[in-house]
Amino acid sequence: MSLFLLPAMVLAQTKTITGVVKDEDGSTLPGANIIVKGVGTGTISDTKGEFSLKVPEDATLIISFIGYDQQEVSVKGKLHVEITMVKQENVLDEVVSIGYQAVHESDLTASVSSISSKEIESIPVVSVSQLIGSLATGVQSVQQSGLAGARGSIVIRGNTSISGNLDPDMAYSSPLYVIDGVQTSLEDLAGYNVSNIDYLSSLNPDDIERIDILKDASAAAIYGSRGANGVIIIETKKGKALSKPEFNISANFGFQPIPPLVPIYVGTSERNRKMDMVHKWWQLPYQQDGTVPIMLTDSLNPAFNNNVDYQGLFYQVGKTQKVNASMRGGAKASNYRLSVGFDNSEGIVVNTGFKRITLTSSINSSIGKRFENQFLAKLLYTDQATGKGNPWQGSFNLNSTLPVNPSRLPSSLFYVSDEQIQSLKGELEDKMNTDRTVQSVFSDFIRISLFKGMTLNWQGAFTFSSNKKNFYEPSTVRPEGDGFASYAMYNRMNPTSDLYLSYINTFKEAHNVSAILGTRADYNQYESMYINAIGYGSDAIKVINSRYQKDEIGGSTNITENSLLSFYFRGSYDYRRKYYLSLTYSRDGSSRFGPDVRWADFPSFSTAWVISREPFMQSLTSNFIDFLRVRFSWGINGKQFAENYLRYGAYSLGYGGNPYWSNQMDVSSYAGTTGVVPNYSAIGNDKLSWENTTQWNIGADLDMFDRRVNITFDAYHKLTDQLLFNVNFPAYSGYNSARANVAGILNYGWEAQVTGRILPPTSPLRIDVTVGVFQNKNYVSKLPNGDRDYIASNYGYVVGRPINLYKMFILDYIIDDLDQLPVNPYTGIPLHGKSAWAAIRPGFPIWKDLNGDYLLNETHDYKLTLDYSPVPDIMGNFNINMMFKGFYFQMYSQFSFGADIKNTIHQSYMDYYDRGGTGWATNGLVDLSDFTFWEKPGDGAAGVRYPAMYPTSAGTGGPWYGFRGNQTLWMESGDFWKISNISMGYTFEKNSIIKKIGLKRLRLYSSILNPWQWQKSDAVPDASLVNAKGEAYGNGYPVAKTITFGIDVRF
Amino acid sequence: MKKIFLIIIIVSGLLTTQSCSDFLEREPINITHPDVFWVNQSNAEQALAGAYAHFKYAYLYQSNFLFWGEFTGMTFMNSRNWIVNYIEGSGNYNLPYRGGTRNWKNFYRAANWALTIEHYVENMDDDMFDSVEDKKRIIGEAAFVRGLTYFTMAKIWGDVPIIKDVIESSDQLITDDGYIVEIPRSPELEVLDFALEAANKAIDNLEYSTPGDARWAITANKASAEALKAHIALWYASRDNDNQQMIQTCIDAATSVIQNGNVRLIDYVADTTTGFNRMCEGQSETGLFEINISSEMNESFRVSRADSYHTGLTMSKPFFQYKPGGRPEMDPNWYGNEFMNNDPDYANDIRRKIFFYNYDEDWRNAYLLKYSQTSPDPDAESNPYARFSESNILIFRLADIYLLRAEAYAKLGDAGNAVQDLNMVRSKAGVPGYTGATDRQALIRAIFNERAIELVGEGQSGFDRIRMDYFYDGVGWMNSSRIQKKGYFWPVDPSIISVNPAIEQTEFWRGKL
Repeated sequence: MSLFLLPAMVLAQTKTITGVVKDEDGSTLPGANIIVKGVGTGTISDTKGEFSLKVPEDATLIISFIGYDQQEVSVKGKLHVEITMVKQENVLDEVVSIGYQAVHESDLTASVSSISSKEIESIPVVSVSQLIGSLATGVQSVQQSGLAGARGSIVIRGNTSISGNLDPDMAYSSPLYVIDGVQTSLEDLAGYNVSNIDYLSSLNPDDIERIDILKDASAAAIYGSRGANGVIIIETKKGKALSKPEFNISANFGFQPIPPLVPIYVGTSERNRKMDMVHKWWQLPYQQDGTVPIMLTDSLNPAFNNNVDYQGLFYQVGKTQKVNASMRGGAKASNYRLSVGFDNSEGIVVNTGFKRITLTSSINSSIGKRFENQFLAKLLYTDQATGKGNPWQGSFNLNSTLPVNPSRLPSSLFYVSDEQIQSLKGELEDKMNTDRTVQSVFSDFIRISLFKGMTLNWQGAFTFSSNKKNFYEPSTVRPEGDGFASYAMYNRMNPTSDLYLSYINTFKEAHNVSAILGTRADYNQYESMYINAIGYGSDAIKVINSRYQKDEIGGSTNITENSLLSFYFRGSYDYRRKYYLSLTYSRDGSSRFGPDVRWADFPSFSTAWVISREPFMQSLTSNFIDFLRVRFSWGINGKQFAENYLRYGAYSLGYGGNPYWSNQMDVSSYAGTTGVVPNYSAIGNDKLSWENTTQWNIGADLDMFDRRVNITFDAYHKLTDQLLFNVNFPAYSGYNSARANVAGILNYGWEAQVTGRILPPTSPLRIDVTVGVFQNKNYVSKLPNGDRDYIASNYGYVVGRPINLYKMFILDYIIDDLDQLPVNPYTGIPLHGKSAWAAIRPGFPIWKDLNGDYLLNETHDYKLTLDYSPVPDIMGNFNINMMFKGFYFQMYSQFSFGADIKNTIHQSYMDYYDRGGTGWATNGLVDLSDFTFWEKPGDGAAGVRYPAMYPTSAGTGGPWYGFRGNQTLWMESGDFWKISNISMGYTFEKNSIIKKIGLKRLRLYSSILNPWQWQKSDAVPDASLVNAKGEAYGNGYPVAKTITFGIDVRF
Repeated sequence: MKKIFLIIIIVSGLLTTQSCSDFLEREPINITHPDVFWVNQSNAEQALAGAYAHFKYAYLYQSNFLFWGEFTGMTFMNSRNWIVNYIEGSGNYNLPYRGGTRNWKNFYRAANWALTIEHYVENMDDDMFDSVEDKKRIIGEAAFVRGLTYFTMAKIWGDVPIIKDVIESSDQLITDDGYIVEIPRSPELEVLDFALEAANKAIDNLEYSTPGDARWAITANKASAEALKAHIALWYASRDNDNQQMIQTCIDAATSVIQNGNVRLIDYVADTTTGFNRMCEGQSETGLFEINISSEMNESFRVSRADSYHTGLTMSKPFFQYKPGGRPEMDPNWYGNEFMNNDPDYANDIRRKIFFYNYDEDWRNAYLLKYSQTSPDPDAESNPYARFSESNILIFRLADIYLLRAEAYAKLGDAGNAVQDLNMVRSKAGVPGYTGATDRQALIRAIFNERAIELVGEGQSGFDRIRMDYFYDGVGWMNSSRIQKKGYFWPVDPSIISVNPAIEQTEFWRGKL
């Protein structure tokens, strides 16, 4: 209390001083702390950086602003002071965007992770999405392919994506992206499914100023209806008032060496190995009676005595180039930034790659003190090369169209013509395959200052993107000898309008208030067109023109739309930056839902207490604690589904009820009348509504030892309710299944991040280490039909268990001797497989007889297994930043432990051997000599890795399907630790030798992406490349090292 | 105060400028849906075509109608097909790869859609139609499809759920807490009542038609509905201890068909193969209701010897280039062939020659010709075996109605009328008048036999055995215990029960699937 009494005692000698706080560039700094030295009174600068304060006549002011060096200014004899703050080298408190407003990190009440441009500027990635997981704790970057710009996913605090009909390449809960105020959720992107391009590939990383990741409900609440999976706010670099224009030019080039490939036998060695198997496993008569495929025995036939190295055909050294140029400048009243970027990546698989051209511009203008305007225009062009191509509409998965999957390669022995080789490489001269996107985003932001602290803001944005694919497959590669041409186009148009009042003020020098009240309208229209033609003619013509007859051309067009309306409010209050409370409320309506359930409310609150600012902490804090805060938040966020018209019960036209094949006849009528029927695969449901996530978060932040150590900890509990899930409908309805808001998922866990500066600030060598660890527990909390287990073809859901459980046979042992088989005491018959399977022989995998009927079959022994889960237990990142004068070194890494993944690669390869037929002979032979296989009795007991691999034929008793995919034999540990980037360089700052050549800054650097990975499994090529079901991607597009050299120049 | 006014103005501006609720109404232009569809006669006609098409699909899918109604009767065709063997051989209907026969979902698509059409069309304004008769006709035809569908299900499964609501939203199928709305099987008599009610509604709304009308027999007219009614009534009577009232209902409906339906029997003796083909191709003077198969209308399919096609299950080489794997044969020891060969009345039955290929010459290679009417596939003209089917699937026709009425008379004890109707059919095939005993048992046997040969391949004899309670002759695996447990009905697919646990398996099949 005595602190508050002091001013009264010295009142007699006071005067009122006014001032303004600015930064080095002359921009005003709102929110700076001004304290009278020795007295303790103080104030905070307002939105214009101005303050006024009653002070003693000869007072000294201490001005502090987080991120800037503290200053002392004497006001003796002055009534007005102008203070220029100097930015600190060690910036631990930055301005964080929380949606519509920015706050200082020290004023946060919610859980937010931030990534600044400095952290990513020297890493030559095409899309930042693969780095986010290394730089933010609690965020998982899911990579699905090594191709530059290819689709990945970002999952914040646990996946909530479940489905009765899961697409494991897509089943990730994606956050809302807010790029310069323009909101886009992946549900909005109709084109996302048809192109393989990652959403963040639309953004040139060089243009990114800052990424803020809102993780908890209160942070995301202002984006209420779309914030359930978290929000990623990206601000791009903008114009700035400078005395003269500034140019930045950066260029780098890099290459990707061919990564170690799956070793495959070629030529004679393949034949010998395969014949060895025949000799080893087959009885003599079968070796001689023509059962052995002729391609192995007829070694003199030129069709079968080749040595084609398919992998050699497909892989090449990848090349990347990147050039970026930007300029900025202008005066305070009007300034600009323009940036042009060019990326060109040639992938390590022939005819794959990514080209991008970006143009980003911003113009800031202001008139007087009341009116500000910011205009942004962004243009994007991408051109993706997709190997064999993707002519079709609908969901596209690059992984499935690559010819390089080692388990699907043909035998090296076959003769392959040059033309076929060309065709395989996707490079045939006449083949045309383009996948191009053009996107433009225009945004205008107006701010009008109404009165002290109050501004009226409007942002209007217009996004138009167009994805086009042209494809022509010439007659030379088509078995029918005809030509196939197609053209597909997907357009998205998205105007938005966002109008809000913003208020920020300080009352009585202690009560800080801010508020937002606004409304937002968002509209999307999608247009698509698809046309294809199959016919005969000249391959020189690759477009669809009059040479095709009418009935050779097919096509369709589509137009759909959706709209979203939001009203939102956020009010924040703090008392002397010690006690914080923030309330957010948003009410959103969506056209996707029926009128009765269209609107939903999304409330949240958050609160924080900065303990370190309490007087009683002063004695402690002065020693080692600089900042200590605890936070709590609670809130509800929502999510929509992607389909625009799911609520309607649609009718299908042209139903003829013909259950039989009718050749070219299109049976679409009955008794001559076109049939209209309900779409029995989708039932109308105008009660379908928002998926809601209720989340609470408790967190603490601690800065110690002169801010050399920063610790952030958060624990959260996130219950996603009313998830859409497939419900199988009873047969009496005629409907198959449809989705309803009936499932739930619980994610809870904790995140901890420690950042430390190892050496004291006085040391010229600076080493910063960041360690982030997070644990997320994932449970299905609710399922339809009274939480009945949902069991799909090879995965399923059980309440109380993580998502996407495996459905498998459980490998019990590899049998050495038939005596090992248990015998049914009632019948005397030993354990056996169902009648379609071969009799058990030594070397077979024996699965657990779960129902104890001495019969192995799918009905009773092929079940969901609770022992494995594709969801990791612990994930995190470990990053090092070092600086010594101009030198810097960065190393970013991320790790994941506890996931169980499925080795689909070995499986699909070995499966040929126990399927019957000659697939084992006609397919390539992978060198598996690193793995042990059952060869003789006793191997099973000795713990051999795999069952006997012998080519099944009638002579060997037929297949047991011993390498079937869904068995625990294939489970591998998904543990990995990978370094995503190492980069180092030297920066010449403006006062060094470069001044002579007129440069402000020069940076030379080198970087290696994906230099190293540790993983526990020795069997899958990359434990980090798995889909949502935990299946390892075996497509042969590895994440390759990229070695890059670059230069940045500023002048 | 100025500030406050300013805020109020801006806030109210905020709330109004973008709050237009129309903004959230997005009427789709790429789909049609219930709210916008029921606006004219043309749309209603298309919906009706869809209902017929659904029934067609349910009936023909994997040629299930032969599994349900033909092979279970075990009269003529010993198909030797491995799937059919589950029926003919063991009476075990567990077709491992043809579980579709046990699933009634496709029928509910037809029935529910028909009910939906009735509901919407009844509520449409009269002036949306060319005439009130057209509106009534559409309602009547939809009711016919619904009645026919429920009747078919009652014949296959006995008790089935009755759906009286138009199902249009998943709300009707899932409770608020995520449970499936369970609907049990209704007793079969209630199902038959429901079907009968629909048939009566169809009769009330439909008019008689005449052969030559473009839609004759392939869509329902009043006579089709009366034929359905006659069938339902006699089935009902048989399931309800010879319910006399229902037998009379059958006789009345059948009589009306015969008198008013503008139908005539095909005289096989006079017209021979021409008449037979005319009947099979359909829309003939004898047809009452048929499923349309016609390449001219783009409503046909390529005939195949696969056993999922009724062509493949009934025919062999030389109709096909190669013999199907499990081709049928006319085993002389089979029920139908036995009476055809032993009963002297049938010695000169012309149907031996025109219904079958080589029936008397080579029984091992004999087969039925009811689905042999074809036309070439214009897209594969070089292949003489690439042909489109032209044989309609005959559901009701006049001979069937005569024999049905004969059966009804026999069950009423009116042997005179029964024999008269029986002879009417026999006379057209060159079979002499019936001279056997006129007790009920003998008459039923004679009528069953006549139906077996006349309607062979039309999916009737299996159901005839149930309705006539005529199992012990020719069906080796049937026995009184099985009949007691209704083992003549088809099992319900377990997937139906797992989704809707209120469904109980038919007693005989419990624990067998």
